Amino acid sequence: MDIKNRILEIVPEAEFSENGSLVAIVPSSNLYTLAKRLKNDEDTSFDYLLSLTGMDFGDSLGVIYHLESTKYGHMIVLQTSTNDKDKPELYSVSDIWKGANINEREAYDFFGIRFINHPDMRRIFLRDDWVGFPLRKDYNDELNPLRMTNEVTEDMTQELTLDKDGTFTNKENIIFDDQEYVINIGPQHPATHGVLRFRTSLQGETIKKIEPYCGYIHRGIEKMCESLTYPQTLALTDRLDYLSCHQSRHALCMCIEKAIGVEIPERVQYIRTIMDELQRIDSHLLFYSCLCMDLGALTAFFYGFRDREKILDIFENTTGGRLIQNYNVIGGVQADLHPNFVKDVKEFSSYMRKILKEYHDIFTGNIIAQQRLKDVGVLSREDAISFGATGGTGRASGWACDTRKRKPYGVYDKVSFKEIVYNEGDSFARYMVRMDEIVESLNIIDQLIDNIPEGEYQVKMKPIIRIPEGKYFASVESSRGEFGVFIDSRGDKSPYRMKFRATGLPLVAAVDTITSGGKIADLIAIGGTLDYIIPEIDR
Amino acid sequence: MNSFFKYFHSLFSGILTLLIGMKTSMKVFLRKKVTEKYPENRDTLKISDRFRGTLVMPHDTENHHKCVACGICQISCPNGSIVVHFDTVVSEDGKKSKVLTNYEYDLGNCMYCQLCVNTCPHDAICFDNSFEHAVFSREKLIKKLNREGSTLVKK
Repeated sequence: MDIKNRILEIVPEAEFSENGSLVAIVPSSNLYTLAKRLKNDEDTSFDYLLSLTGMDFGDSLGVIYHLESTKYGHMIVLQTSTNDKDKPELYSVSDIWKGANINEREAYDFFGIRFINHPDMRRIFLRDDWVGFPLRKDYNDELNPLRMTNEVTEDMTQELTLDKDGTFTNKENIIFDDQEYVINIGPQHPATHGVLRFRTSLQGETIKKIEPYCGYIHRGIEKMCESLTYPQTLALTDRLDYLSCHQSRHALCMCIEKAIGVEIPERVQYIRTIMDELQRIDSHLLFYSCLCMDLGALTAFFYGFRDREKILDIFENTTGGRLIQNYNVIGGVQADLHPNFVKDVKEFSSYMRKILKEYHDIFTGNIIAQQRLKDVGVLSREDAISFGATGGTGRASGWACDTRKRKPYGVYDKVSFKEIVYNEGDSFARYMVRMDEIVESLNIIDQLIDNIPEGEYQVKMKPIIRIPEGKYFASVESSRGEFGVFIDSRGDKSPYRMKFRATGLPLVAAVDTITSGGKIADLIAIGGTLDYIIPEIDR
Repeated sequence: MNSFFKYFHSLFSGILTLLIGMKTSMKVFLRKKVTEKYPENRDTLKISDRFRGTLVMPHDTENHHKCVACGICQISCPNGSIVVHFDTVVSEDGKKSKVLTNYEYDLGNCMYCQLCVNTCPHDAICFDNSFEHAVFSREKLIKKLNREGSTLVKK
């Protein structure tokens, strides 16, 4: 089926641009109808909103939607914009895809685009008293000095509704009313794994509603990237999700390499794939440790950290870093593999396979762990897709969302590995997916480690890298889901707009759905098994 | 009767899982220790050669460095950790050249992205292994990398 013709059928005014990737440019008045048709029609069924990017095109403000179908695997990029820069208003798609809700709040926060019919139009990362919208090109930074007053948490939110007779009204929606018992979990709470704050409304010990507050460590990485050259932007990706820095950097390098059309040597592909998998084991070991500690099993916590240390030593020998590794560069990797790398990885692989049994003995089988994880925090498959909750969370809900299988990159098409999918959708399934993935990652590494081809570890690049004009997108399977990089280039040495699809943002958005009706004590187990990383959410 | 049986079954199987866990932790307890005693083990501590500790400018035995003060490192640094101060010297035949006076490096600002080392055309700077950076004030983190009285190496 030709999607292009299909879109023209629904919206005859649509235009197409093919710079980098196929983008359908749709007038803002038709976007909502088109989006709804694309999702609901049987033969298109774009049920997964991969990414929603706010844009400042210069003379207009707009949004770019990356859609994908989990049924057919096809993709399309939609773009819409409004010329009214003083009062930009676009239609919300948050009732079509649940994941759009939090992403549209981000677009409002950074670009000031108000989404019509969005139930909760508040800032998400920045303070409510922030002046201006920082990712707009005409933003003046001097309007926002360091504030010395506390931010007041509002219990009310705005909604811009469009009535049937075509008039806009501002409606006030209540987040928490005066009668509700609301407590703060975080921003400094060990079980939120970083500075994330949940305002939790309780009825006894049952959770009625959770409202996530992000942005405590927001650094504006996307804005910073706009003034950095491409090699310089690489340094920031390691600081997004510090437990998948190889993968995030791989995604950015891949996107840039794809855009300038560099052929990457086979050896680099092998090295990158092995490093990605080592990083995944590293991340899953830390996940295991932290989950165990959250549930009170401190002994198991140390087991995970003990073995993670071995991976960090391997990393340190080759890349020179333990947490921030700085290894992938545009056109290759920073340095060749350390002479001991192959030996160390093989030793680690056989050690890890043996030691995993101990992990299961001490924690997985444990009656307390079982009772605290099983049937707790169930996320249905439909919700997982609608929120865009990829990675271990999505696969635990029965959604085969592994980017390594769906859109193979590196040398994942040359290795055989199983995609771990559980159907229960509860915390225990989310835990087991990651534990089983450690074994699968070891399988991948074992298949590759003896066959690393000889050759260059880096392609010589020009001193100044410019990307031809266009829109580019690349995604990888990071340790906790599909991590995507979107670059809009105007042909300069730095990007016009760079957007990172955070893997954690949909997870945080889904917390309310997962926990509602559950007990407050289960929030810890649910948060632990969702395995979000805050620096990546906040960016 | 059935629920009675179920109750005791889950009770004893639960206790069994706890015993298995206990056995595992005792097994690990009796193994060789893997922890390291830092800072007592400073002499035997092994750090990878590629570890990025501090940016340094290697000098040879005659106090020569390789920096020509071209400033490429300063341009490629993403957050301005490097400032190259130089004098412009006119030689006898009228050629202008830059002479390094102070290679200022702010360790507190550096994010170890290695772009300065990668782009340096003369391999004048590199990272060394030292990692004990703690000081009492931020000013001490601003370092001068070229030594006192050092000059450019003669080709």
